[in-house]
Amino acid sequence: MSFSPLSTKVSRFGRFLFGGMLALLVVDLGLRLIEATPLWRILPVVQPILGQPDKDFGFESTPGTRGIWTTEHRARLQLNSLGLRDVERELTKPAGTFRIGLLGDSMVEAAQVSQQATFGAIAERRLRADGYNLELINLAIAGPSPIRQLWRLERRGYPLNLDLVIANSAASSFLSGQLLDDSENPAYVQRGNGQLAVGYRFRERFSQRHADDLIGRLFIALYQNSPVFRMLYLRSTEPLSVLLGLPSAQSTSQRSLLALPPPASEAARFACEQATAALEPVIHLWRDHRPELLWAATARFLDDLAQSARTHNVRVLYAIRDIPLPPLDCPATSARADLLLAMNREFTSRGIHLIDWSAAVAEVVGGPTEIPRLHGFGIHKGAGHLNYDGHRAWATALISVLRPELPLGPASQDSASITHGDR
Amino acid sequence: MPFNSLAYALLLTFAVAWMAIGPWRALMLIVASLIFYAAAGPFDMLVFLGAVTLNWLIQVVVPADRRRIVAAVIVNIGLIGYFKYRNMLLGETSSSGSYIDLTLPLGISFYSFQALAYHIDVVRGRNGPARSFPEFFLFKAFFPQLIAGPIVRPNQTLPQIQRIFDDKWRRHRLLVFGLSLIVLGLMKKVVLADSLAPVVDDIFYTRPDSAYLAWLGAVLFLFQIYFDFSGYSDIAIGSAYLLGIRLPRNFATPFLAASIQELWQRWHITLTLFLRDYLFLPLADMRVVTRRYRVMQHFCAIVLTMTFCGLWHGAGWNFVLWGALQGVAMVFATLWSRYLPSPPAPVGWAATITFFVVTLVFFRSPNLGYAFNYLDTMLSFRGGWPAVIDDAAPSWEVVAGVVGLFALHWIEFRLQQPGVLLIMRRAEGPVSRGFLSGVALLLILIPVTNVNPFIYFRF
Repeated sequence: MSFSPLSTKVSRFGRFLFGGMLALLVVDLGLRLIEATPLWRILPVVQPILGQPDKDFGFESTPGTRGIWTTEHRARLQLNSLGLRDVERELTKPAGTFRIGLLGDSMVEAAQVSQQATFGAIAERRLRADGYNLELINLAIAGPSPIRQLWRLERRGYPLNLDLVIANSAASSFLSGQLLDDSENPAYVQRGNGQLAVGYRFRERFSQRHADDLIGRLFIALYQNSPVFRMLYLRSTEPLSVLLGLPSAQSTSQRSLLALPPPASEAARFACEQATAALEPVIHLWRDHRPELLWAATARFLDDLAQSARTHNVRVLYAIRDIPLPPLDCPATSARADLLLAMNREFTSRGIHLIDWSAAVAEVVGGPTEIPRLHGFGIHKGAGHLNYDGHRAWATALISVLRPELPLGPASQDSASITHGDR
Repeated sequence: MPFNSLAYALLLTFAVAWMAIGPWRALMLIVASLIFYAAAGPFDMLVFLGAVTLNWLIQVVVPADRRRIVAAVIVNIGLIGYFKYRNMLLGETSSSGSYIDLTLPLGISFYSFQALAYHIDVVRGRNGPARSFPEFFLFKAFFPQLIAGPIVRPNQTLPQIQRIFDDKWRRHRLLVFGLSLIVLGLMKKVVLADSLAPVVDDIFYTRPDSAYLAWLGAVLFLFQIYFDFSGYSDIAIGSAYLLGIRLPRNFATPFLAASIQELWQRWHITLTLFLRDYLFLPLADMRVVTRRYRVMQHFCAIVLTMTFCGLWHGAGWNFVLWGALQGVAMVFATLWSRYLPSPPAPVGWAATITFFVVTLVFFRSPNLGYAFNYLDTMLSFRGGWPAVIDDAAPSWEVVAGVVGLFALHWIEFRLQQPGVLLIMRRAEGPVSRGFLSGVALLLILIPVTNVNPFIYFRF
């Protein structure tokens, strides 16, 4: 049988493509094998995408998602059947159990460490060991907008019959404009009459429009189940220079690693200057209510949170972290105290209890200068999400915040005394 | 432009396709090489173009005798000396604190040595000179081997390059061989070296407090640097093969060596041969002592050559000491083999690897002081077996991993047997090409959690 040159070329190309498809399968299998064995600790894996487009929420976690988290530090990660970064929980509250919901962003979600090593899990273990019959449920979802936490509470928290909610946000999350940006999740947008209303511009996104059709569902199924497809999808979202692997993007990130800290003699002055500068926009927002639109959104968020908590009869504690802690002799110390008074006023007037989380953690670890060591891993220690020491310290701080709120009296053992032994 | 980047994959694909169908192949290779090096930045490009031009001028202006060698030494060693050893000679230290010097023009140690070898070989009549500047330029700039070798001799690549200029180029038939080398190199670099790098960095950065961690850091660095550099060499040789140029082998599973001499015959082979031919032999043959002391002179030449080898790897006293120790070990092994019975192969292997791992601490450390502290921890055997805390891997997994790395090295050795080439010949075809191209592309696309440029790029 003879082939024309064209059919030979087509046949060769077809076989070449078949070889390419075979490569996809083999690499996919290889990546699955790595994930399933202890090799996940070191060899390349593709990080899971923890959720999918959601018409009400923007992006919602998918129950049962599992995989290996690789950003900053590696950890096995699994969302429970309720879509929470937590162990399996019954929707119905067990009798006599005090249920606490832990709201927050990626810092609370803590994908960088195993579930048992998160501060919520540590605090739950310690308090149970002290005789408290409680559940500390991690409701956190990554994302800088505090409004995500409110929707999360509404959708995932209240059905669990919570008795208490403790939210944790960075001070910067109120300043970033996320409360006003509805391009990725619901946010407050200004209408023509100047009033704020919840906006859903994110629904115009391609991924949202096709989330429920066949192609959208197939796409989601593929990225959730195929490491190679997920890898190709994640790489396709990168800027072209990064995708091409051109050195400009790489050398910048490498050089940033080599930046030297200020000399020790300058450290105190440097810390004071940094804290003063960082406090300024926070003070503008909470004390001076500037910029007006940002404050309006912040106030609206607090109103909605308070209203939501009242409706469901749940007490809310709101921990705000990263309010800069200047050195003691720094003039910004008094400015910080004024700021906290102003913030406290805003929260208390709405029936929410404010917690100065940075101060609480600093007290646990022996001062603000010790806080950086709670963040980051290995050569990146000092910045980033919580490391293991960080989770232990946060657990201790959380216990001290929670104790007065718990219905049962403390048992004989003082959990704060087992800070470092317990995991 | 890193080999494990999509940009390189596109450039190579374009170049291979052009070589198969297009006219002006030599011009295309020159342009591709310029694009490849341009990614390093304008300063590096300027230094490179300056070095090529100066070396061409040496060929054109200086007569082909000892004077040309002197001129070539002055220009090329001068270039390396200025950019690489200036700070060391002036007693300054790198502000980066890294063992990789980011300010060094990309590949300067390689292309300078290559130019030096070219002039020496031309003067000694080992091969003819390049017939034109474009020929000379492509010999120096041929992109697969431009920035980290293999360090090629003119008689290895110049005739092949001249065939391209004479329009007598022919593609190698066994494309699967070239593609396999690229896939092997990417596996070593992306899957292994880049995975080991963060662990090694963490251990060396945090200063290990137990011998277990210190040994682990050193052993993993041994494999990191091997996978990184031999992976680079595999990709370079594979890429050149696809373009119809054969490059010399650079690594031959060195960690299976049973003696330190054998290890250096299997590790960075082209550098070892360069040092042997252009430094060791002249030093050993120099008539400076009487016949009675020739053995001593021979030993001194070994130590001096390896000290220079250390210095070539980095401008620091830790590199000098590392190289000197390699030389001393070679002398020791030579004396042993002369006066004592050879140890059983496993003992020789264990002693060689242990020595190489221990001395690599000097290589990886930012300075001598750090290296001695590290070695103090490593050799004190304090700290015991670590407890498993904070999601850490249990010790058995770590030990199994290290054993696995040695097993991989042995598998690589088996893959280099002639039978594998026969299998490749049988498998040659569109399916295998598609498969290997697909695997290579997917390996390039594997997400990077840490950016690790090839270690030898900045040497």
